[in-house]
Amino acid sequence: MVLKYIVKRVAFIIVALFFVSLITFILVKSAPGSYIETERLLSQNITDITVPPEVKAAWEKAYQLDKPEWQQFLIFLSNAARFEFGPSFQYPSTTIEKIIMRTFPISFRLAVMAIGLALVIGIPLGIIAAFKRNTVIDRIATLVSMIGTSLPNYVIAVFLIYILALKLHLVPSIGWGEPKNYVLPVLSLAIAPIGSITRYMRASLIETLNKEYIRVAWAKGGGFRQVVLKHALRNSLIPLITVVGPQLAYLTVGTVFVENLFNIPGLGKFYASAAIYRDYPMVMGTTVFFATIVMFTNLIVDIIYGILDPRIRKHSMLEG
Amino acid sequence: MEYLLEIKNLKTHFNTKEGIVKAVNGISYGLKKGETVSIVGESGSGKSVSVLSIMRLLPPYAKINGEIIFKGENLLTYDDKKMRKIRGNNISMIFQDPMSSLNPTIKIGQQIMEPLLWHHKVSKNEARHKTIQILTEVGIPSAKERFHQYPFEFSGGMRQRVMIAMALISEPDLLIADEPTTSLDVTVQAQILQLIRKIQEKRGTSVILITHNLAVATMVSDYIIVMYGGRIVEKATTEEFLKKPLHPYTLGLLNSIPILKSKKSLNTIPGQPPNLRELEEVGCPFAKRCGKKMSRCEEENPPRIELSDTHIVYCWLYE
Ligand SMILES: Nc1ncnc2c1ncn2[C@@H]1O[C@H](COP(=O)(O)OP(=O)(O)OP(=O)(O)O)[C@@H](O)[C@H]1O
Ligand SMILES: [Mg+2]
Repeated sequence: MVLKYIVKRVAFIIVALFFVSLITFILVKSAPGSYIETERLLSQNITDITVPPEVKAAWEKAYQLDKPEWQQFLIFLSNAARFEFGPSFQYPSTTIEKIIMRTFPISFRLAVMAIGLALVIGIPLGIIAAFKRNTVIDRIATLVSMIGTSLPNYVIAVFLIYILALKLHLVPSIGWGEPKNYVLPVLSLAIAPIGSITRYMRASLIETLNKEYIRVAWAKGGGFRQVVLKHALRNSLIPLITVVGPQLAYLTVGTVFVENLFNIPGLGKFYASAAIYRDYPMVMGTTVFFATIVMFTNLIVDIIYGILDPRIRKHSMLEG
Repeated sequence: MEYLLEIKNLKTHFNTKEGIVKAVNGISYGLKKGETVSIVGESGSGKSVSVLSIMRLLPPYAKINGEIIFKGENLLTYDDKKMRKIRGNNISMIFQDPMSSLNPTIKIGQQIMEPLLWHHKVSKNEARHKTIQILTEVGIPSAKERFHQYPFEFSGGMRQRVMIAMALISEPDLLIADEPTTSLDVTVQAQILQLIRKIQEKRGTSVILITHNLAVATMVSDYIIVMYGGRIVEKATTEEFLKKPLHPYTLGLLNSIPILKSKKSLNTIPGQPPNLRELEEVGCPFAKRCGKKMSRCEEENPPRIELSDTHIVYCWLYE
């Protein structure tokens, strides 16, 4: 049954998350520097980073850092399972889960908008490239998608700020809260998925158009609308989901640079500052949260894929 | 009687980077209503290209010349829009591989009724009704349930029945079947051929059947056309073909068929099929492999010898 399959996958995800937690914990524990020292250095500009031992002891006790490390790990696990990470070092008056709940939607919205834009541009571009194979249009599309996928999004962001904000004065380069503030970050994030979606769409459509059943559809008297839009496009869009789903997850996670560059109060910005300040509870909580998002997106993608492809749909039901 | 389809001096050449591939080099034949003609010949002799030229289902770099008169009109003068009205409506085609000829993500019933919906103003309900009727006619049990199934739920033989249903649903005048049974089991092959025969008799559809298999050709067709190197080398009624095959290539083909020969071992025709890029414009394409070659065979085009109204051979031997 489908249910059995989902249960199996979820169990696998839980095991994977355990290892993600363990590895993050070990890395965090073995990384040099500690929060109270870094905080003195960065925020208070004190170069002498030695903290009075009694202050440090009290602080460690408050965060249960005085316990043996295996206990700390177990505490973290049981907290994570309940999605209660407790306060972070940087923000002792609130909890990490509250910060995540407040900032994650901002990152997610950015990612969704970027993917949406990438689909709207990438799919038609891929179709055109597939039809105008080896023409100038195709070459341009290939070039655009190569640039998009090879340049990191912060480089693209800097370039876009220069062109659209500084030279053309079309949009503000900084600020948050108004729709126009979304333009630059969304564009910066969208370029890479536009590239990969265009390329994938082109390859997938060309492959589908070479299928025997497409020739049959032409032989039945179909035109562009019937053969390409109904028979070919549908079948080449199904595998696209396997690209778009993970892209969405990685974008949500990968907004870190863009959020810092544009000073957007999303989770990525908090994640970056947590790493700089050695705010380990925040780093761990966010890492596990991101890992969960990525893995569940992949699961959802596979389920949708199964729903769209009748062969998989019917088979997984038969398997019982 | 008028010809339903008359092909006159059809030439189809492909302009490829490596040179011109002369796939079909001036073939002519006529087909009347209700007749079945089989086209036989070795792989690469231009059988498929000749019928794809009729359907105009070839890539743009294919250059088609000559005349294809269908119901009194030359299809080669048709633009793409007019051609679309012919395809799947007046002329239908069944391909070799039923496993890949159906769209895996669309329900069988939906795919069968498409030609009807694309060419005629019928309601979905009427189309569905007709689809279930034709599914039953091509021998698919519990058609109502099968209508809603996907291709992967059908066996190869059943899929070829589906393809036949799809080809026949808009009641075409001409059915082109390009090796419809090659990829099927022997027992299923016979069933599919019987089905094509039955339906064609019932409806008076004309059929062009392409096959490698001479036994199949003699079983189902009124006429047989033998092609070699993109040309017709012999054309005869099935009876004449069996009684008095003439062209050396035809004889070679017949010799390589176990069913038609007694107990002697199989003789394949020695030599290689011609390279269509280097094919000479003059001379018999079979000359290089022909045991009865004369000097003129490579210098002049073979003459068209009419042994009867229906039996034609292109060979100097019978001058
Ligand atoms: N699209 C194409 N581009 C270039 N050459 C082609 C194309 N289609 C067919 N040909 C060539 O035309 C020749 C005739 O091919 P065709 O498919 O008609 O042979 P056939 O008699 O149907 O053979 P088979 O029995 O193997 O199906 C072959 O040499 C083939 O390589
Ligand atoms: Mg063929």
